[in-house]
Amino acid sequence: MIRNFTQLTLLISSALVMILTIYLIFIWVPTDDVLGVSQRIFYFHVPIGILGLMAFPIVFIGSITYLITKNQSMDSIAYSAAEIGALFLTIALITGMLWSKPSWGVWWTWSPQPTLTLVSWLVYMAYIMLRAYSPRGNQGAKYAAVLGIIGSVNSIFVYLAAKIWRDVHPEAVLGPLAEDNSLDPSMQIGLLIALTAFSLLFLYLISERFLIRKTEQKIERLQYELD
Amino acid sequence: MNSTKRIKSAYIYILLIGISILQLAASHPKESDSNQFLEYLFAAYTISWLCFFIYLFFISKKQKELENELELLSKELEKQKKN
Repeated sequence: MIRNFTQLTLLISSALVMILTIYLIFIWVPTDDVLGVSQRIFYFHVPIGILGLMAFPIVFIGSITYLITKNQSMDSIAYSAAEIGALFLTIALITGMLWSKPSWGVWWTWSPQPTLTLVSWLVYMAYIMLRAYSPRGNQGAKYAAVLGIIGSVNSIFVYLAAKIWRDVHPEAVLGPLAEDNSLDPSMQIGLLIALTAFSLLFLYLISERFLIRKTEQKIERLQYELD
Repeated sequence: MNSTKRIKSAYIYILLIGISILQLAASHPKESDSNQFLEYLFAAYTISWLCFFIYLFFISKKQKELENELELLSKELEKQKKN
């Protein structure tokens, strides 16, 4: 009951904040002088990219806790976060390409940040494929946990990349590495509200996937009992 | 369970309305806006929502299938225990 209530709250609040986000992006925030309307991709691309990478710490904590305690719920959290992280990073890479073309004239640039993001996306894909093709039970979960822990390290470099290797990709606009006044205040408000909307959606999707994973585990147990 | 499904559908409708607003906003840009790269903006937002919708559809379908499978297995297990 509480789970359902939490999910409903997440779903309703994300929908409401999403409406506000769409209003802010298309009506309220000013248009960038240099990049024009294509800069509005930023309000989707950046929050979705951040959340795609934020799934890695969840995978990391879930995997480490699973390896230590063998708690199936921790494995389910890691699995759910990896799948939702893969979805978010897929969208972040696509929107990045759609922003790169009008900004730099190319669909893809091998600059460190997008390249490392692509590596993170490949780690998620490897994780999902490992879970799909490994035998049922603890073995697949163990291998995936190790992959999740190793892969999580890369997400730190994605954040640091634009600072360490300065190139065409813009630097971080949020977090400890962001410079003061790197964004117009109204753009910053738009970005923070978009981040809130997507964070709520992200949490909702993880909780939904977690419950599905729990049902899958229940089915596995029943099948084992029947055999 | 039904209320969750209803709210999920409502969410999808709200987002579809959002996309329509986007389309409207994109077709009536402010005077200062440059129309040059509008198609990229539209493509980015449409693809993002499509990905979310496809994923939501995929997990809803999976949830339904798993619920059916769970019910079948529970019934089978009960039969086995009775025998």
